[in-house]
Amino acid sequence: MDAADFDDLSSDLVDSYLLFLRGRGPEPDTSGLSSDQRRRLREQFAIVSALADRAPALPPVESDPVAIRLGLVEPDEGFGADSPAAPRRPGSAATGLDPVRAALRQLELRFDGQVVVDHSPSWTQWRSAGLTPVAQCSALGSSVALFTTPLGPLGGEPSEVAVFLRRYPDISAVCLSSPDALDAALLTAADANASLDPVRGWLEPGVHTAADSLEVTLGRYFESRLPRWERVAALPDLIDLGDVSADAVAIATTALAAARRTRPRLQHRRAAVAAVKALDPSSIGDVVADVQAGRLSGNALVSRLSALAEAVAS
Amino acid sequence: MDDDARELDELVERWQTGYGDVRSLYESVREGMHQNARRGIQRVIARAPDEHRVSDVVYTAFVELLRGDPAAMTSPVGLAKTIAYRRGIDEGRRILRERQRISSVDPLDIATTLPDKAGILAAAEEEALHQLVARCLEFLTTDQRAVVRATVMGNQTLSDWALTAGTSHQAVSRQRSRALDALRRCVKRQRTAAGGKEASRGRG
Repeated sequence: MDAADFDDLSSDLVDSYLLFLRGRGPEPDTSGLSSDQRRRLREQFAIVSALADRAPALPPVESDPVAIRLGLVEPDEGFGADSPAAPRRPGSAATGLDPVRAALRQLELRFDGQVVVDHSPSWTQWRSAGLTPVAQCSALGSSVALFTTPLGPLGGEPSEVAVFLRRYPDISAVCLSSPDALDAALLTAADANASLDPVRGWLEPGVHTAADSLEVTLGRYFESRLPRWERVAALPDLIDLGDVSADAVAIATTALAAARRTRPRLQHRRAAVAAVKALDPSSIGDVVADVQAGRLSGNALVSRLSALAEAVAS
Repeated sequence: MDDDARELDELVERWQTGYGDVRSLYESVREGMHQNARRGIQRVIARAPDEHRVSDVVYTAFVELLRGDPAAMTSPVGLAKTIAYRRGIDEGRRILRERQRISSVDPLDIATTLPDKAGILAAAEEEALHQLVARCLEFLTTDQRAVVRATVMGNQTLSDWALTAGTSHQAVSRQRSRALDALRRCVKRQRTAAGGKEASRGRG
């Protein structure tokens, strides 16, 4: 094997090794190589392992979000170190600041204002021996009521949470946090009631719930609730394309046909496919044409799409 | 042992004996923790993770590291990386469950047992190797460095990079092989030189 052949082979093996490191393939087989080539490859693999997944490069520690959250550096903007919203050093009350408020402030910053924190929600009059109301965090249709509890997040309050959620049906979930914000758990109505498992029988409320820090718990919840809008990079190109109605209808027809071909087993998915069957591709073509002509944008576009969805679902 | 590795060892020793500060410790382990958090998540979800998720994992793992007893740790650097990797796997599982809307009967796999010593030492060794490799990267040509950054440190395929660079897949593939071999030789030279220094220091 000449040097160029070995370069080609080792590059293929490095690709396989990267896939292996990322859990997408088996460890590459080097048994067909000479011992010297195997040794060289092993050394290269070690280097690849040390380098892999180091991108994207981290920002300087002064603007590293984790360092800010840990309270190791002052945040650049938003709040100063002496503000009650400044983050605290984990596991330490040295700063004397309220860690729950700091976590809520970080949550607002992280979601760029999409999550709104209301410190005087309408349900604050609700009283419970073990739970202290703190705030309501809302984004789109999800609202989380936040309470602190001296016993820690899973100290036996799920039944009280169930009562609360029945009393306030607009609240989607309740978050229970320790006063230092290091342990928090989020309970939906399903988590707050006993459940029946075919194997284990009746399970206590909260059995599925794992505790984490308040900021991580709330962050995870809203991360999974908020939609991820793909940026439409080529919208100006679309506007300059001329008449695309026919193409839009053709693409919608193909996409709808693909959706109609699926044979889901679950009832609600079968209902969704049936709804899709009622959707007329030309109505999607009309939406595209209106967007292109500038007649439809923002909330009006969302309303139009909602109306389309509601029409086929009814 | 080279200067960077010595500095890191001294810092860890200061922290273990209660004289170090948390920020310096975080600065020395953050890169490795982010790497392993990404790798752990990716191992489960089989695609590049969202960086917010990576930050969550690193934050949780670092707080967990601080809760441990520094004096009892085999290698805080290795342990930090190992915890980040495990929590990354937990996060990956959580993402899968969220995606599949599965309400699992078992609580999430938040392992409480400490990882094994060999794993921690291997992670620490990898971090020490990375310090050497990071220095060696500077000796590569600009093109070699770019292909390594894109296809090894990042998630680009060789074909993507070939398109970006306006060259053939084979040319890029060979360029990367030569770059990795150059790194391998450079690391070897650095280790030999460091070994020589250690020996002369020992004689002195």
